[in-house]
Amino acid sequence: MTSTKNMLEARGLCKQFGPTVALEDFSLTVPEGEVVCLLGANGAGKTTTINLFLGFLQPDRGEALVGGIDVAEAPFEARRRLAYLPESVALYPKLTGLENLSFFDQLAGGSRSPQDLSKLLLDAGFPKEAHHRRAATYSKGMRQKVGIAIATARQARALLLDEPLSGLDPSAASTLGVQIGKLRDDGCAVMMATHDIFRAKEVGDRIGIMMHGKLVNMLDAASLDAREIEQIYLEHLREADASRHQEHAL
Amino acid sequence: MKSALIRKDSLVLRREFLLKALLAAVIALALISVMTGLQRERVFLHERAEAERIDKEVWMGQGERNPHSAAHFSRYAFRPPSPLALLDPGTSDFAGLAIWMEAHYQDPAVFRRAEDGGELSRYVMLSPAFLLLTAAPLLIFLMMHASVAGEREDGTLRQLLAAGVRRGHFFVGKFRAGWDITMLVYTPIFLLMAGCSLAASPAELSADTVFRLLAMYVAYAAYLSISVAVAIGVSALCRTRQAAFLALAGVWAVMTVLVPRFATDVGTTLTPQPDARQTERDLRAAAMVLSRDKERQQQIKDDVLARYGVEDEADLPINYSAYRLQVSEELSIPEFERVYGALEDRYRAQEGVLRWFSVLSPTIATASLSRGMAATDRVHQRAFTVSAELHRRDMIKLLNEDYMHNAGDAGSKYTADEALWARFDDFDHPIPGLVSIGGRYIADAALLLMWLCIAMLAGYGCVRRAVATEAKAA
Repeated sequence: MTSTKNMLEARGLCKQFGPTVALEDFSLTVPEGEVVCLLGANGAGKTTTINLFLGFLQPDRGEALVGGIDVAEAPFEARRRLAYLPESVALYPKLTGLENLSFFDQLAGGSRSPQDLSKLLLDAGFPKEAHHRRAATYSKGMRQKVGIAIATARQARALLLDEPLSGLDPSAASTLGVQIGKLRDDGCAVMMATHDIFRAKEVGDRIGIMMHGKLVNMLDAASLDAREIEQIYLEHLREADASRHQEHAL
Repeated sequence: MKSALIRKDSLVLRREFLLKALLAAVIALALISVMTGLQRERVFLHERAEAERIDKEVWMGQGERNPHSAAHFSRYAFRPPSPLALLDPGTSDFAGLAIWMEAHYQDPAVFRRAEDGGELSRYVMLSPAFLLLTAAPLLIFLMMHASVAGEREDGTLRQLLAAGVRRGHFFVGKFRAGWDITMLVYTPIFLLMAGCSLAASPAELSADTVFRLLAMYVAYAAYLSISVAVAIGVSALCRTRQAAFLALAGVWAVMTVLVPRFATDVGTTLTPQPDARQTERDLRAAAMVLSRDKERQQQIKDDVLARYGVEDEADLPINYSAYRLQVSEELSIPEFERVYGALEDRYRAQEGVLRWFSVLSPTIATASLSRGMAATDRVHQRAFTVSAELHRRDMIKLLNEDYMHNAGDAGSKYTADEALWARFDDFDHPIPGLVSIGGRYIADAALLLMWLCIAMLAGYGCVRRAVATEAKAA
């Protein structure tokens, strides 16, 4: 029997911005080799969760742990174990894809040869003819693929993705989904924020539904089809709206 | 991590088209400034050598005449050429090049090159110092304006933070990348300009000149480092490249143009320049101190008659007229020192005001250090005028003593000849060693060092703030 380690763990995370509750008693574990998708509308708390794991925000209560390390206490130590892909991966426009990858590899303490880095880009589905082109000319999909290669180069044990598929054409989104799957298969724990039910079902092992800063349900992606997930999501949305109307009425 | 950041930032900077264009502009400006400087120095040195030669020829060829008449005929003391004047002409165009060492009167320095310059020379003189003081910070600001603002605008700063980059490392990476490129451009250009300056100078290379050059190099290196730190700091305060560009253009105008100009105006307002005609009247009065005092004249005559035990000046073993001329010279000395001392006090007060304004702009302290190291500032001009005055006193004393002891019965008809004129050494005033006057520049060096420390700390502080804001803005 193999034991899996919880790479990402949230324990009762709370975060408030002024009067707005962004996250309320959020608890979740993502073990090695699993993809958890956080599904929710804008303002549901998905990005706040990711920012708490990155240490960009300090929780009001609770803990965010990366590989057992409390992010608030040791943010740099925690970030060394993480890779992060935002909605649009930012690359240095004056550098080529290969140079961008090499730089982030060196930041993580790596010293891969150009051949090894080139292979990482190819593995991420990045076309060879673009390796030596400046990143300023890349499409969003190409930048996301470089981002995946960066995550692989960093040998991160946990990957945080914030809407990485939004705005991508179906083919690019599908390729990126495959790459995320590969990382999962290599033992990486993945937490992906998305509002795309179809992609969440395709990429995720579990799907957490978030409403107004709360994790209201955790679904097993394999046992449900996309239509069922959508039904459950919409049901939660109706309940949440009804509850909020009640609160306002009181 | 730091070395990766430095390499990346250097690469990004090197790929900026703007940087390449700026580099070409810097090299072109440096070459122009050196060529115009070389031309100026060549003309100046030639004219100076000619004037010295003619002055000596005229002195030696004056024929037989009364020594006191020769004291009025007299000679010129020429300011020593500085081997580093090409690098920084400083105030040399506005200060006199020569002093007439005549009897009875301590003349101010005359022949200002600025007076001979055409209308165009009244605008800016493109010297290497001007290039380093004003153009170099502008080029650094243009090169570095996007250093942090660009990372924020492109979203790469957030990416770096997520990759675990520390704020300190981020600042060091930015600073080192900018500093490396700046030094890579500055050092060869400075060496080229210094080499041309030394090559144009007839003086042999001395340890003092090397030390001065080194001090000048370090002062400008510190100044340019301050500019790099300021550029990073201001860029970190702005969210976009455009805002950073505009902000840095404003900082440049204030730092290199407005504050130095304003400081000069405030200095001359608080301690106004003395009225030139009044100063001339004071100097004339100093020269006449004995001739206007009949009582003192009588006292001097009585004293000298008593000393030699005679009752009539005709019985004196010395020429009394010559004796009185020398006494008059000596009585005028403290008066001249009072007038020129008051002038010196005013200039020092003005410099004091200027130094206070160094707190607002590092350009002032750097300019002062640069002129000082090039030996083209007021301190060195003052050393020249003092030295020329001492030479004048010795020269007039020697002429008066010759007249006093050798006139005999010839009296005022006594004449000396070339044998006497040849006894006078040419005026030779070496530029004072930096060791002897270095203390005058400690305050400027301290101010520059303070600026460097503050710019680095403030730059880091701004980067810290930008990083914190960026993380929270997510």
